[in-house]
Amino acid sequence: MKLVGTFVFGAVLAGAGLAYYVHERSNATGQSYVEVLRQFPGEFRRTYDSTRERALLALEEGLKAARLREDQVERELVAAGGTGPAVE
Amino acid sequence: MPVSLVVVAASTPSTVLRYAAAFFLIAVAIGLVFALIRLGKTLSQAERMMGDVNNEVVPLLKQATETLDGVNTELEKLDTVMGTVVDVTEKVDATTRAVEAAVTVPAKKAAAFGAGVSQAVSSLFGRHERGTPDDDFDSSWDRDRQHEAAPWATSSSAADRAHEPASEGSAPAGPADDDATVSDQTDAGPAVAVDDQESEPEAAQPGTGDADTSPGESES
Repeated sequence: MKLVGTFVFGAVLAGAGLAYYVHERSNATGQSYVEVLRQFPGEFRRTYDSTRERALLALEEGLKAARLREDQVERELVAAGGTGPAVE
Repeated sequence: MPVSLVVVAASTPSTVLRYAAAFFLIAVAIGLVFALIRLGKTLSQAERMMGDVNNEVVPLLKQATETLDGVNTELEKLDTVMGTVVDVTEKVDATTRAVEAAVTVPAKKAAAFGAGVSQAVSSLFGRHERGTPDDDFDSSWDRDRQHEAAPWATSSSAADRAHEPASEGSAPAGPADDDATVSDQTDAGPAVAVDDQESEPEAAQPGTGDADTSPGESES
């Protein structure tokens, strides 16, 4: 019963979000709701692909920046007289 | 002639010598007595001095001994304190090393994590704000809307696609692909019309795949 309620709640939320999106997009473009709904899967797919590509790129850059920062902190600790990597 | 003179005259050499010896011995005896008296006085003064020194130095030595005992006791206490200080210093050093080892690595990881997250977020959202070829999906809706509202404007997309490589131009044209290469048409009605005139012969080529979309889809 609890699972069914969760599904119903999620479906209601998804439907409300989709309705809001269709309404806003229709207002912005002047298209009808049906046209907006018809183009929704393609737009969703492209948005998903683009977001995924950007996220992967951002992840790589973040990992690179993290490694650089870690090396920098390690050098600062060694220069400050700390034990540095010998502690590890 | 008196008898004494005769006696003296008769015994002159030996008697004179004997008198002289007696006189000498008497003088020596007097000198010795005087020297012995002085020596006795000196010895008595030395004895008194030694007694006085003995009476004064012994308490001083006793006090010095007591003082040295106190100093030794204090030194023993100081030695104990120094040992304690050394132990405390070693413990502090060990604690500091442990804390450093426990704090350094997480701090380093935290700094790296923060830098990585910051770079990733700035890369993710900054790139989106700067604008990449596939970033602005909102404009695609405007393009679709213009494509539907102004069929003459679609030739602009055909003109744009004509400059693109053949691989991209030969892609299948669908409802979602119409907005892929359309330039900004929202504020360029006459300008697009000029582009249309220039690019109509190229857009009419059969290999582009978009030439048939401008009149056909606009009417539909």
